[in-house]
Amino acid sequence: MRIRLAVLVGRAVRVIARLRGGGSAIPGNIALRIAPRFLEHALGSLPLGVVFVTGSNGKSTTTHMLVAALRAHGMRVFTNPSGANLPQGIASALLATVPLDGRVRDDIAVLEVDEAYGVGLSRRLTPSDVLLLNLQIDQLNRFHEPDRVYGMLATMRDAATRRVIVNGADPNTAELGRGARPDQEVVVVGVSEAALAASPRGVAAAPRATAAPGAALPAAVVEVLSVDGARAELAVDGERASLALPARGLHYAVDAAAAIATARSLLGDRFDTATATGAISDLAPVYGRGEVIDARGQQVELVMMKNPPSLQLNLDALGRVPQRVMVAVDEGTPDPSWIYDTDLSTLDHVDVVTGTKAWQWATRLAYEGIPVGAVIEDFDEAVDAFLALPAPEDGPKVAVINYELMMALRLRMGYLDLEGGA
Amino acid sequence: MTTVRILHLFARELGINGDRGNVLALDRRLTWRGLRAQVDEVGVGDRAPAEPHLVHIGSGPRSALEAVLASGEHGSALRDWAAAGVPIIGVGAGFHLLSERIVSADGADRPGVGVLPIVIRDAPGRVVGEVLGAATPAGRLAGFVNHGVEVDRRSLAPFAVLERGRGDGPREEEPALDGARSGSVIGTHLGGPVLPMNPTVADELLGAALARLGAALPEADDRTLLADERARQARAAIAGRLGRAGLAV
Ligand SMILES: [Zn+2]
Repeated sequence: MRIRLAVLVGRAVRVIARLRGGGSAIPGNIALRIAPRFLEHALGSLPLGVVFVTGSNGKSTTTHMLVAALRAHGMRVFTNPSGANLPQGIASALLATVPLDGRVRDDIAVLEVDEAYGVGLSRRLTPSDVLLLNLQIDQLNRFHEPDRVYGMLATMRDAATRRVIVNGADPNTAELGRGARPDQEVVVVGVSEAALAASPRGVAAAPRATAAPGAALPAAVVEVLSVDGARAELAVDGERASLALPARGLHYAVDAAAAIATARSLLGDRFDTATATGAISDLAPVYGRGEVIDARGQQVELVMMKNPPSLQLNLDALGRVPQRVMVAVDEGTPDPSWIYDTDLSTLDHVDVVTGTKAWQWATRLAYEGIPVGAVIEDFDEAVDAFLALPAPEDGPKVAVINYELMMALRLRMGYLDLEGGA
Repeated sequence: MTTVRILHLFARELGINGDRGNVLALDRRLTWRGLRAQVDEVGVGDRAPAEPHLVHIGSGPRSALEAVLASGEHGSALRDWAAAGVPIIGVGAGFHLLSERIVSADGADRPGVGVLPIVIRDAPGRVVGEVLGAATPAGRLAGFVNHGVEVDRRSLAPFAVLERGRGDGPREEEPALDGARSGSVIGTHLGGPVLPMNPTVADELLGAALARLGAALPEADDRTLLADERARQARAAIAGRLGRAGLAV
């Protein structure tokens, strides 16, 4: 009864929220308040269980890839949209499709899961498989230090009833794999020495003191052999396979390898390498964080500033020195100190710096000798000034922007569907 | 021309939050004024360097700090340099490293390198947020702190007296204090990073390094003044967020 009520009310709120362009977590929040066990009820009895995808970076991309690979094999998959990785976000995603009895009918759920919330979620949903992508420097104001995030990932690993899939090239996730229980199958994704050596940024693992290797990690079932622009060569069970990545860079190749390794384990004999690589190759290309928005008739490419590795990845993915650039950061990034760890060589100037953290960014740019056109703390004023600049010849204008101001910009430009993008 | 040798100690092991920015600020503030800077990065497993003119140690997770301390490397050199008056700044875990003892929540009591006669204890809670220093003739310090320790400063002076934000002493300490100073050594929890955000501290360290070389820090050039004005605006923005808009920073 409570479930039916939660679905009905949640759906109604969802319709209203979407009309108003409100936050996508609200309907899920309300459903969870009405029926606290909504998630357990919805996802608790799927024939092939629940898969968690977590780590500092690449959760959304890898989840997309894994879902695409499984669906290409004919599986019915429930998943959450990019970034909706908290319990309320997953509940909101359920409201979009779940029947009134609140039970998902798909074969399997593949969930992108936030590191901190994943600890509680792993108790409620008892994942069968947990994919641990990486542990990088991320949101220190929230997570404090990588040691704490390691503990969160270890808790999720321990919750896996069947299998743990780890990135063996990140010493942190490799250590998590070595620490798995004997009753857990450990599946390893690797990166060849050559591919690592050819990548200027490597895997960007957070510096932690990892324990001396005790148990050996099993050999990688999927290995990244090389990355050439947005194409990667993999070895899948020793067989070579080539695929197109959604954007350039080793990071995306590791995401793809992790998705393929997980799909292979889940599908068993039904797994076909060409089907999986084909499905991943067909995914839409990602520019920066994947989004070019229309702003009063102009194109603006969003370079998301979430954490150091992702900002670096998104700047590198630009593939050009942009002619029109705005940097916009507010209190959603309480401590932007880490911008001093970012290689800004892809910028030769910034036209407008804005947001409450504008002067910290402007100071950083001064030390890099990168000229700044104007610092305009007020965001709305800055957006007007930025859009008033002549159109660039090299493609869209570029906004280096944090999540909160990206949402503000979308709203200001008339985007009502806040679930999109990211 | 004078070359200032800056040692970025444990740069690989400690330095998770833009700490390179401190070294960048020191480097640029010398080169912009026509002096030469040489930055050396030395970590665990590297040969001990000759006495540098200035030492920076950054922040990092406790596991990394414990690994650095367990290596036993460069500790006696740090003690010698501090005794000789070499300016040293440690931030976050780099500050903890300089202490006499580090007491973890689980009761483990480990020796630090003992450059600062203080004790670092894990606190029950975490302190995360912006802080604003009290007025001084040189202006106000500002930054972002993020730590889970309590510092027993013993008789040492703090690095900063805070007007807003939580310090790193006992919870009831009034006024709140941050960090410690002893001779030429500074330890602090201020991020921002601390030196680009608070260029007077950068210049104090550089001035001390140059004084030992028999030289003085030249006047600031236009690039330095531009960076410093932006840093001042960044501190003013922090003051504003902490309810002290319009203060001279
Ligand atoms: Zn421009």
